[in-house]
Amino acid sequence: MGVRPSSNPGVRLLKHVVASFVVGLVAVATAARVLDGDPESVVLRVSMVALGLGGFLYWAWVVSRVIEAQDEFSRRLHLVALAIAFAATGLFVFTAWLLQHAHFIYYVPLWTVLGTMVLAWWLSIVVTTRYYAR
Amino acid sequence: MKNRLRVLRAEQNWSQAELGMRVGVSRQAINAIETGKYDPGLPLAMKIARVFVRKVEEVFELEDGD
Repeated sequence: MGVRPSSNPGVRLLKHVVASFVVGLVAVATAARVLDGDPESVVLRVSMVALGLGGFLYWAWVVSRVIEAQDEFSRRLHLVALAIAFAATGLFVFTAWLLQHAHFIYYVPLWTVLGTMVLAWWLSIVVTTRYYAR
Repeated sequence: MKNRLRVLRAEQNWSQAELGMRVGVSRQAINAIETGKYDPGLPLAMKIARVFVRKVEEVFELEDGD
């Protein structure tokens, strides 16, 4: 007996996001693993950078399609949330840069910046949704 | 921008979810419009007016500060 495809567009979109996230994660992890081995071949290094970027861009493309498929109010929520996340990440980077120049900290890993951006994005979605729902 | 959404919806005895379904948006969107937190775009405003068989300016009204 086959599994009936879900007719709920929200569930379908969520499945696409999760699937693209897994694909993106595998691509980035594969690229990072190969690059960590310091391959000599320029072609291989370029290919792995392209693979990692491709994985991330595919996920970002799916997320943008999901946002675009929603109604205008939801799109507005996401735009506001993205704007807040952008500002928060900018503030974080600027603060880290100043602290680095003042010799309070030595180095902020790029993954920390990316993590901050994702956290700020998630928090801003929660805050924005709550604000409009009140 | 002011709107008469809540009044018109009550006249039809529609819930926010039902109105949202008729115009293709979420209940949250209708709630945000009614509470004045979100001004709909022109296509949505026209759809809302159409389901109430009204003109857009009979549903939505500019305020002095707009």
